[in-house]
Amino acid sequence: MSAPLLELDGLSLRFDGPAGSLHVLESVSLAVAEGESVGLVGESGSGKSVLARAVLGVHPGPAAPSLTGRILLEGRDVTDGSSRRRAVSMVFQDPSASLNPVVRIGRQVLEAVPPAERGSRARQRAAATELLRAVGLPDPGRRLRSYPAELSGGQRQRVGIAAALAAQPRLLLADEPTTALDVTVQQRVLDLIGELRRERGMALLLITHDLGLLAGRTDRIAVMYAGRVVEDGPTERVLAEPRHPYTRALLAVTPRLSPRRRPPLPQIPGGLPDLREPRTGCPFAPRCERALPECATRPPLLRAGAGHTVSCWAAEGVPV
Amino acid sequence: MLRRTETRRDALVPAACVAVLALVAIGAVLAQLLPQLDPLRADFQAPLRPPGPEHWFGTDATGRDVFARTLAGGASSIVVAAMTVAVGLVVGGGLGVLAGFARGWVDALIGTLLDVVLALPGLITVMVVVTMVGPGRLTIGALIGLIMVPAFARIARSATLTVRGQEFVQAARIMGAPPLRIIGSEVVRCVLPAVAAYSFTAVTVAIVAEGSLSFLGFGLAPPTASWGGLIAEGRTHIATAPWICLAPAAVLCATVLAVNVLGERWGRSRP
Amino acid sequence: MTRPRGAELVVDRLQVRYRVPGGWIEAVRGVSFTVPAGRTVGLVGESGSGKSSLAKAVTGLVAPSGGSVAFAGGPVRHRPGPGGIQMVFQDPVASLHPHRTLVDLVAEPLRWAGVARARRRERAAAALADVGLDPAVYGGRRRHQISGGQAQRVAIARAALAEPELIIADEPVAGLDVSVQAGVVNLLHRAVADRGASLLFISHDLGVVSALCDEVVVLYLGRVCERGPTESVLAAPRHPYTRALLDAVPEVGRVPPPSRLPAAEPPSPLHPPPGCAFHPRCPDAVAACRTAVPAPRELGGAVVSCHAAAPQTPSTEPVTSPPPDRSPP
Repeated sequence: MSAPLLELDGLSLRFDGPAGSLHVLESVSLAVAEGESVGLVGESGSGKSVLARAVLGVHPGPAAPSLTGRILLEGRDVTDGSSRRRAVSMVFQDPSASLNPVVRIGRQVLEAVPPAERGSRARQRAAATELLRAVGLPDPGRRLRSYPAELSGGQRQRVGIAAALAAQPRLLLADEPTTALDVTVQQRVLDLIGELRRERGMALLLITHDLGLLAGRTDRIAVMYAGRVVEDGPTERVLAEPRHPYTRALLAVTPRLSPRRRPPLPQIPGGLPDLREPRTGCPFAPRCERALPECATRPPLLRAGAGHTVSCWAAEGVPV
Repeated sequence: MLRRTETRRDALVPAACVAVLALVAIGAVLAQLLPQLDPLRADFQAPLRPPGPEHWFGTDATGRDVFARTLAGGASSIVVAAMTVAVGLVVGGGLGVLAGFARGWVDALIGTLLDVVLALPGLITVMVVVTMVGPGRLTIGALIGLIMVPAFARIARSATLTVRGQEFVQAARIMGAPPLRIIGSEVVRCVLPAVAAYSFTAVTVAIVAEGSLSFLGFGLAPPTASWGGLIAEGRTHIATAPWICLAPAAVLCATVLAVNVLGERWGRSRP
Repeated sequence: MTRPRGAELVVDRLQVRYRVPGGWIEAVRGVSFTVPAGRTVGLVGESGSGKSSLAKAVTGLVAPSGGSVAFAGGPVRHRPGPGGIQMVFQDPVASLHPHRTLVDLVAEPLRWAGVARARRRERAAAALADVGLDPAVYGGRRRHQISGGQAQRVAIARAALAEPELIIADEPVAGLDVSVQAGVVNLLHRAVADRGASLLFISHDLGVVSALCDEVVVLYLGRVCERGPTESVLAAPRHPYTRALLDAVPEVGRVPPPSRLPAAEPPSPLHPPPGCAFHPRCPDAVAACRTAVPAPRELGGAVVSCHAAAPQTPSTEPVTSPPPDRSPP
């Protein structure tokens, strides 16, 4: 088997600030194969967005975080910040914030392509039109001259996707790409990302807080909690037979259409652990209904089925 | 390394500014109390003396001590500036909060009123009124304050508009809080920092304006000491006795600079 | 059982419009519905549906340009003291005064009602404890020292302490993590259910609405498409927009059916389409939809505004089954 397109190997990430350190990622291992689509699920504070930015090689905030472990892209170690060679692109959460409001769309779409490769004006126009057509923007030829404010939220996100595709990445990172959109539009944008992925043979890392979005859309799901991947497995298996208590709790609290579910709704007691402290044991233990004394120490990684791993003392499985 | 020196400078500069202002204020008080510092006591034996151990800033044409007169001028500046800020804060801030909170025709009326004031040429108006009602520290301070009312009102209005749209003010309305109490307890607390930051600017404008007016002869009438008046008096002797106008001018500049620096720090510390 | 003591809210042909550069936005275009005493009504709509404008008009924060709002038989007034309307906002942090401590924030309605300081702080501390925030730990904190979910708990504690007969909650869980949402929904439910008050719950999320509300009102571009008891609307949605919304709601484990809507983005509220505002995106549109605004009709327990909706037998199929096959034009 060839090496995966993206491999995170024991990646830890820490932001050091005047008020102390934030341990955002703790020894995260995750792989995305060529052409595979993986859903990365977590709530705020889980580290999912920081993980995406680490893969992209950009970091929020003034100071660079300290990284340990490795980020391998196409088999090359890029942890030290070396060039991603346009292998990765990102679709951002808020298209109105990621697009420049005073630059015409035609120019922004090709931003990721180095000027040397853009070719003549006519070729650039043709390439940009083609990208906008690919993302289903109506009347792409005329849209080139539009400004972002002239488009609806869904259309702006289509432009954001087109811009991400321009560099012909092999891995597309999508960080909550539909959170800012209406549900009826969300479905179409996710379908579009799925179609483009299949057509172009790209791999996809779809980052979301909503487990409900992933059925039928990704091959695998990785669930993050407090900077760790707690469960990783085939989408249908994780949704139907979740092994980690956190995944189970998250599934239980995700709203669903049922008038028979009257309040009180199930909820997860407690809150996120303090990220300023490194987590010694299982970070979910204080909120876990199945917590054991062993949970104060680092849980083992168990194999719970084909391609399905879980990091929990209380789960059944074979140590990896 | 770099960070440490920067922190030290960060603390030193405001401290120096506070020291300058404290000296001016203490001097102004002492000038009222100590007979040795009487700005009007003339030593006819010693006119136009250069600065020395006896007269630190020298003497003027009638032998009055320039140091004593500069301190007394500081008192005038303080009174004028305080009056300016008081009028600007109360009248301008009040009108601005009212306009921003009430909106509608109240806002339009206040806006028109402020536009009228803005259309007046500031210093000339003050000169005309001073000629009519006679000079006086409080009169001049109040007049400069009135000229600055539009600026205070604009700042207060825009801060009020921001606060007014915020949900905690809407929540107070829904909870049945009377409008005046919403203004009093919810809005003013949030508007005050912005307006207070502008007060520093108002102080410098007042000091410079009072100086300019007195220099032109429309401000405080002699024998009341004023920095502008001192500079004007010294002007005739600038070739032979430059200290008469340079000393009050230097103190005026240092004071304005100190107020400006402090005002800027204040504004920066409150995002 | 507690006797319903909440008063009825009647919204009648309400209109709200705003002046914007280049014209007017008709945000609410003749919306009528009722929140009966002691009931929970969910107002569902996407961006541009006018749901937030409607909330503001109902609470009197904006003046309606037409129609009326009546609460307990009279106009809406904000008086301190029990028995009125309280609101829970979308951004819980912004709805708290930045300089006040949590105890004082929760005590605010009592303050306006003239309750003595010591007495109201005591009751506020109890109310904080009631929403799961230890007053000894949280009472002295300010809004920037708590999380969004905690701020929403504070806002609910404050609203409940005013003892309202109606709480209006405008997207109260939209910005919160799912694990936090359920707790907030439960608290809101308790705040009204314990006292027999009514709740108008405004949300874009049909999932949350379906779990919480007795009745649903579906809004699209300032008009009501469909309203009725939650169970019948979910089981047999009559309006094509309601069906599209139900199809699009993300559900764990469900592979979403392909969207039946013709590939059109929602139109701008600045230029709503004539006739039925949904017709450019509607798979079932007929000629009349382009010109005539559909009148509300009673269909199987719900009120539907659609030219094409047929009085069909209530569906026994599961909620998520695709609607009868009508291919888009």
